[in-house]
Amino acid sequence: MKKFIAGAALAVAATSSFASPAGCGLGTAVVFPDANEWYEHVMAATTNGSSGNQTFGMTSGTLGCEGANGPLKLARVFMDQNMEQLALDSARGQGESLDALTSLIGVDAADKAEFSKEVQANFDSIFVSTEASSEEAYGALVSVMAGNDKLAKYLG
Amino acid sequence: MPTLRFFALMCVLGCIAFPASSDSNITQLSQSAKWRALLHYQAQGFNNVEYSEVDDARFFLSKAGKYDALAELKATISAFKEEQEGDNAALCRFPARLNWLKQVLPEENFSSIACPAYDDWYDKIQGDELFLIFPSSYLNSPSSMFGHTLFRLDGKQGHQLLSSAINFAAFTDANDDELTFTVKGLSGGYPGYVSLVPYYEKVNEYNHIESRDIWEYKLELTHEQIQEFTRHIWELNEIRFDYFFIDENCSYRLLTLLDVVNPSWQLAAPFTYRTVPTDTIRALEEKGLIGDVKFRPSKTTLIEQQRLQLNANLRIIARDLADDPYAMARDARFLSLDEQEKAQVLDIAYGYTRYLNLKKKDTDPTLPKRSLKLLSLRSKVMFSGDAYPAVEQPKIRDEHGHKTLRSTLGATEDYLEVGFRINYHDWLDNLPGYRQGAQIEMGDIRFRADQSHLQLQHFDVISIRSLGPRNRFSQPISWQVNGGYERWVSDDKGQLHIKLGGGVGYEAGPGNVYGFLQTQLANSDRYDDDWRLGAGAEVGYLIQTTQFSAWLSAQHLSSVFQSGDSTEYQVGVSVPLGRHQQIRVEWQKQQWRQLEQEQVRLTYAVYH
Repeated sequence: MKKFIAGAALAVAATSSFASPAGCGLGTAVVFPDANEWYEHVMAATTNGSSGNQTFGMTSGTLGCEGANGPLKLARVFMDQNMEQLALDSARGQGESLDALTSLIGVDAADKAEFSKEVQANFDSIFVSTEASSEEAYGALVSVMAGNDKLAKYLG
Repeated sequence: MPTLRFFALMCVLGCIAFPASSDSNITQLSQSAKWRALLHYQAQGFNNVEYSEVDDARFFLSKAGKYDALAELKATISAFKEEQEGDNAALCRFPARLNWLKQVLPEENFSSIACPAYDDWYDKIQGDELFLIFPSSYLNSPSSMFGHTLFRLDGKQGHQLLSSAINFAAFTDANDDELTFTVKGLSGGYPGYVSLVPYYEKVNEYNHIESRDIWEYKLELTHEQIQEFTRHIWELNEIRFDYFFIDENCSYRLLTLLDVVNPSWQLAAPFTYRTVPTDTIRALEEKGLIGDVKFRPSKTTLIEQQRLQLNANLRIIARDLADDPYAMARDARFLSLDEQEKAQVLDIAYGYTRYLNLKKKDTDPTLPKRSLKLLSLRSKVMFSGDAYPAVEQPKIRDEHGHKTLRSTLGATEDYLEVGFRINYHDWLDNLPGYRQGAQIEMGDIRFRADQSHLQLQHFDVISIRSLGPRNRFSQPISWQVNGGYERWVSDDKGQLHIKLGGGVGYEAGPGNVYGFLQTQLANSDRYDDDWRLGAGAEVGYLIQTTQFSAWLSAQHLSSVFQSGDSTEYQVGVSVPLGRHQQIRVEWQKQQWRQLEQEQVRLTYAVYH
């Protein structure tokens, strides 16, 4: 790509630090991250470049982050990295991020509709505020699932 | 028995390195297209010397491997026969080389060892479907206009968002200033690596944050070809290629990866000097490698589609919801809507608040709270299913647009003209496959000739115009940047100039009307002291359709440090002749102080 203009943008971005936004600060993501943090990320993406601390290589490819644990380990990582999309899908009671989440949790096809219905009905308790972390959202999701006969079994 | 002794000696020498395979066979194999693809050999430089594009010693088993494919082959064969174990053994690090050598040298008995890291990785990501992913350009960001390309490998992850995105990208240094960035970017000063991330990261990045539409092309590959691709990707784990923005970039590297799968495709070879993503997609299409195509609309595309489906009343309600969801939630105008309408206005209102945050960088602290409130309201609407019909896939995709090099032949009353442009698209070029209102040109050069002269008439180093209409749910800034040389239409004098302008555009009838405030710095012996700083405005009207395009504009600049105004009017109409040709007619009138010049030009253009 010919990135003549992006150079200027990168210079702007360079003045502040490059944290890895979708990286492994697991559990800390909020639903709508600060626009300026995203801005840096966008600049890196626009230049098809990445800051040095981003993962490169192969082994972490299947799901960005190691180090999570608990019954729904992968779901937890996914939630952390897809808070906004999940909030949107949960509000609508459907969507591909919700589909991906249910497949990570291992929800059977027969129970997917129930799962979607529950997260939609409990939207306010899962996405409590704009400051709430993905870890809190995850905790709330687990409670919602635990309180439902069809979904509790997936908590392992 | 000298002969026997001689053979014995040969065997001793040979047995160490390669007992069963003859020297000539090995030499032949080292020249094969497959081996060269595996090593990323490519003819390079002015004298077309073939050597590897990999810039990493760990990729080569022979010290001479970057320049000597035979030495690398011999070193590989002998390494495969050494007794070793563990993930660092050559047998584990180069599964694609091993697989190929087993086929072409069946007489060799390469050892078989356990490679836990590779096996585990392969098992996790292996899949049957490989996609080329193309996040296309978006208006108002020229650097995105060439797009980016990556792969997606659908395996057992259960959902395509969880699939592996295989990406080749430069690892730029955030501390580099603009100049360093440009120089390093063009000269290969940044390392490029192939990396794997979950596809959702790429969707979030391009589709949601940058608001770029994403095209997903299924590649028509066999199961074995996809396996071969996967094996080779492993060989590039943490291997450095120098990244060049213009030629050895992401799109180019992806083609070389496919050449490994089938060297006879020769996909990368035509692109050693310049690689634009849409051209690479065209190359794949010519080889019949493109299967089903899917379209993933960006946030901005979604909002625009939604806006078009709402009547004026609903648009106003939606915008009021975005501005104050707390009050509107109790407002009769909202409460009286049916459930689908509620879902519709909430969806677009939410999209708009996110647009303000992500694209307009609005830092109003109430904004995220309003976004969340809108979602909360949405979760209580009793409407299941999509509130809006799904966005239709555009009939004409980016790679179906005109090609990006342009040659022109023109005639005016006094001159014949020839022109050439390196890149990419202007407002009057054939529209299909390109964004309305987006112009980005680089290296546009035009000569004119009469009976006695051949002269440079026009040279745009760069010319960018971005026109995005503003409405209730979108408030882009329209702007232009232009720099180069330009001769007046009917006398000998010319000027070097750079021009900047910014303003707004609105929908009006079938096209868009716009106004820029602008300033121009110019150098010409026509001006007092050779220099002129001008300031003024441009207004214009642009219609772009698949049948024709038309552009009217008027520009007036006053001189800042001297007397003298300049005015320029122009009207252009173009008609495509199929995909890669067009005819255009342009009228121009230029005034500087009392001097007035006018010209009509007829141009034939071919894109190649």
